[in-house]
Amino acid sequence: MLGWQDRFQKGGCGVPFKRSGLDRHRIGNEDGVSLTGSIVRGPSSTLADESAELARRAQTGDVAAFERLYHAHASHVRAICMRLCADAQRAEESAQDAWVRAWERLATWRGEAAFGTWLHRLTVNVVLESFRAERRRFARVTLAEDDDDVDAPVPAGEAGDAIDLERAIARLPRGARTVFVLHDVEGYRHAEIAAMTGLAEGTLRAQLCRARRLLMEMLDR
Amino acid sequence: MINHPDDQTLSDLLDDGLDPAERAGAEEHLAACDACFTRLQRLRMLVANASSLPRVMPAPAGEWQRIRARLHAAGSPAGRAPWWTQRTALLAAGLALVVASSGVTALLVGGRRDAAVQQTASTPAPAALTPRLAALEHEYATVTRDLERQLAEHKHMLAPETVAAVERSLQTIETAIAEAREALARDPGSETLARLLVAGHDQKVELLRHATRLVTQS
Repeated sequence: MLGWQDRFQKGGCGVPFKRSGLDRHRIGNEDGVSLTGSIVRGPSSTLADESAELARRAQTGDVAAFERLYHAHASHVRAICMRLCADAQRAEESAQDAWVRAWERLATWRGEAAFGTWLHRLTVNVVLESFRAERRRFARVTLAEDDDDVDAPVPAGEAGDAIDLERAIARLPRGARTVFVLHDVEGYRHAEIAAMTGLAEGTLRAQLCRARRLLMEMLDR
Repeated sequence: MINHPDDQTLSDLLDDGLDPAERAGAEEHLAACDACFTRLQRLRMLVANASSLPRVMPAPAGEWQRIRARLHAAGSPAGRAPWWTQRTALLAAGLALVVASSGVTALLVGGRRDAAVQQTASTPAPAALTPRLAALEHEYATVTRDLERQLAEHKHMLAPETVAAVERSLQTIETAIAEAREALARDPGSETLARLLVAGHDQKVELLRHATRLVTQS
């Protein structure tokens, strides 16, 4: 009898069982827009080097250098904010907050991690902080403890209402969406997400499972 | 009776999060159960598709201009130590938390500062602080004017109690801003008061943003 992994490979959807280990949450290390505006395919040490140089110049107060960093990384920051917030206006506010925070904290970037990696983590933290702030405001009114309570329930949709994965993610309750985006889209590990969100590992795993189950249901409609 | 692994088990299996015994049991079941095997495969496809989503989305037009306006408020990062090592920043952060309290602001502007605040205020201020603050206030005015216009256009969509609460909060913040501005006029070298003024403006922008979001989403 075939083992289940043998069956899987034989069935062949071509997806590796374990994550590749690629450092996905490093802005600018994959396809992206170079600082000169051209599309960069594959790992881009040039982009990382250029970003590092620009970040060092920005640390001295060079706004023009920071603007070039913005143009190189804005689309990545936007994607993170949009997926976590699932709301265009809120994503724009979060992205702006992230860039201002990056400017304020530039002195803390020492070049040990790629600038894109540092910026990515900072952006995620800015969004999560805004969630926590909203939860505190909301809690004063409702005493709600579950982050998901501030979200609208998952819309039922209609039979046959097929939606793509992006839209399905946006429909997830916030807690499940956050964990799913950080883990399955951005590639953070459980321990990293637990540190960023303050969730216990068990809660995190349950949220991830919930997100995957809800997504499969939505995509099956 | 067949014990099919639940979704949590399949999800954990996918993440390599089961202990060896649980994993062995799940694998044994999956080797024999088409339904569970198919479900795991679909789960795996979902995760693979998620990790393949595009990493970029176009940023909105004009975003950089809006960010640049706020960078001036933040000042230059040059030579800035991590904020947690800065006494001034810690004081400013603490003060920002209470900026909405005009009573506390009154203490500051009334000359009854405590020793820590006095020490910070004696720190030499950047030479161009006053012109910079003036430019900064102008930028804040532009941002808040837009938000206030949006709010005014849609405030009929909010409950009267909510409108009243927003207006009361705005009044409190504006009072604090005005008092900080007056105190700065008397003590233009005080970086603490400058930060207090900026924190007041930040609070106002944040409140207006929140209220605007309420009306645009209602």
